[in-house]
Amino acid sequence: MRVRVELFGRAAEQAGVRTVELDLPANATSATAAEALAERYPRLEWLRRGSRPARNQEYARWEDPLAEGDEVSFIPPVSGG
Amino acid sequence: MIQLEATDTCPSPLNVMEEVELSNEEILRYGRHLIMPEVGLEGQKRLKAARVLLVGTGGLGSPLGMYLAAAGVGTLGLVDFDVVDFSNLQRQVIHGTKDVGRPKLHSARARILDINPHCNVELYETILTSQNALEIIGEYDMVIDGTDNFPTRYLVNDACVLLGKPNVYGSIFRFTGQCSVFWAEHGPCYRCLYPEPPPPGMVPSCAEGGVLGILPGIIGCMQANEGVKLILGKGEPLIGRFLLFDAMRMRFREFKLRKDPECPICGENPTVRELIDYNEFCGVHPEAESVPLTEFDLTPAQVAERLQRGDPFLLLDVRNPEEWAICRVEGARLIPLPELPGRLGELEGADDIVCYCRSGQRSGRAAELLRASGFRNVYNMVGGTLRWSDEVNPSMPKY
Repeated sequence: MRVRVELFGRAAEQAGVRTVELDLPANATSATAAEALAERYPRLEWLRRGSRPARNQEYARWEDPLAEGDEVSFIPPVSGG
Repeated sequence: MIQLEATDTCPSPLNVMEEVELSNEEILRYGRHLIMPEVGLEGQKRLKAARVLLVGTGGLGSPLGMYLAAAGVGTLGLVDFDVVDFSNLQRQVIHGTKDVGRPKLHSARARILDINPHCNVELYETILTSQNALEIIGEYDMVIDGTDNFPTRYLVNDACVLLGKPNVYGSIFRFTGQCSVFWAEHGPCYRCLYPEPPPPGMVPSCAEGGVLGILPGIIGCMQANEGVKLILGKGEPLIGRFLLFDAMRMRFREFKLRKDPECPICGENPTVRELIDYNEFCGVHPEAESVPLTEFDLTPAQVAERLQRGDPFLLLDVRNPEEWAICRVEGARLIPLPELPGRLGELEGADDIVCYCRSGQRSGRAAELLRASGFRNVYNMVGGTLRWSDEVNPSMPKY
């Protein structure tokens, strides 16, 4: 299946792009998407450990299955004030 | 006390309120509020009766304190223990240049009272801790979180959940900001979103990564807006909605956030029933600076001595190129920490390496990484360029 990943903030800077199209196996989850992303952009390896996935503008769990055409986002926590 | 009626759209933490009156001076002051039906005399009285706790009087706390006072919030509690520093002034507009060196609470109170002398300002010159949080927060209708670290954010969240209070959340980094309203009685809490903190060191602070000075103004004003709506019980609050703001592209994204039934504190079977040790939870050691030197640490004076003697060693600067452009130690070589894992080959043969950064934190991680990669004799210059400026060369700028 094909999904679109949207990157924000530091992740977008590290990857040098804001959107990425990923081809994933049929049973892919948010975790699969993060791992595929880290393979293409090694500096995004932290996303799997240090962000929260969202699917179609709704917060999701890592194990939630994705579907063709989904938009996946990874929202990193920030602590500044 | 007046029993307040529930409104149809927005829950409010003010269920009952003290009977308050507005003087003619206050009526004139709040006239632009009073003529709108969404506020009106009743709403303005609610604002006057409201007690709001601001945790932190920094970047977010500045617009929060100023706008909430101006709007007529009757009581503002301020929690902070810091003093005003020159490096705060780029964004912490509640403090002025004349306030440098003064406790933030004092300059914040002076500015608030100048804006609105009717505001009752209550000061807590302390770090919010698991020992005092319930007592302090218990005195207020809601908390607005303007802290700058993960342990305090989890502490504020958990205390608010345990006390049933809303927590108006805002957070900033570089050019992006986040805003939401966490209120476990009506929606998700911060732990529904991030049950566990990120591994220590993974998320840089604003001191490490920088922040656009205007950003806390924008996010802090959004928090003030949500706080006022909660007090009024009007409008659609950010409960269950998470706003992401990108200042560089001037875009807002909104994510729907549901209450997590498995949330460790507000879920169906909570495992957190009281406040915990949040520094331990987040893996941070706030006393790290006073920790005695290890065999892998060198003071700036020791590094300067080695340089002067002409000892053969590699002085490795692991800051970012933007920081390198501000200042550097003569003779150093730059490999930014994020690039270090991919550039280890360039260090092959180096058998004595001293790492430094701005404060000693990132260089500590760099030294660990190098040791784990098989390099021997890797040292960290404790205190970084900040301490170098204090103890070796005062002409080195601090930032």
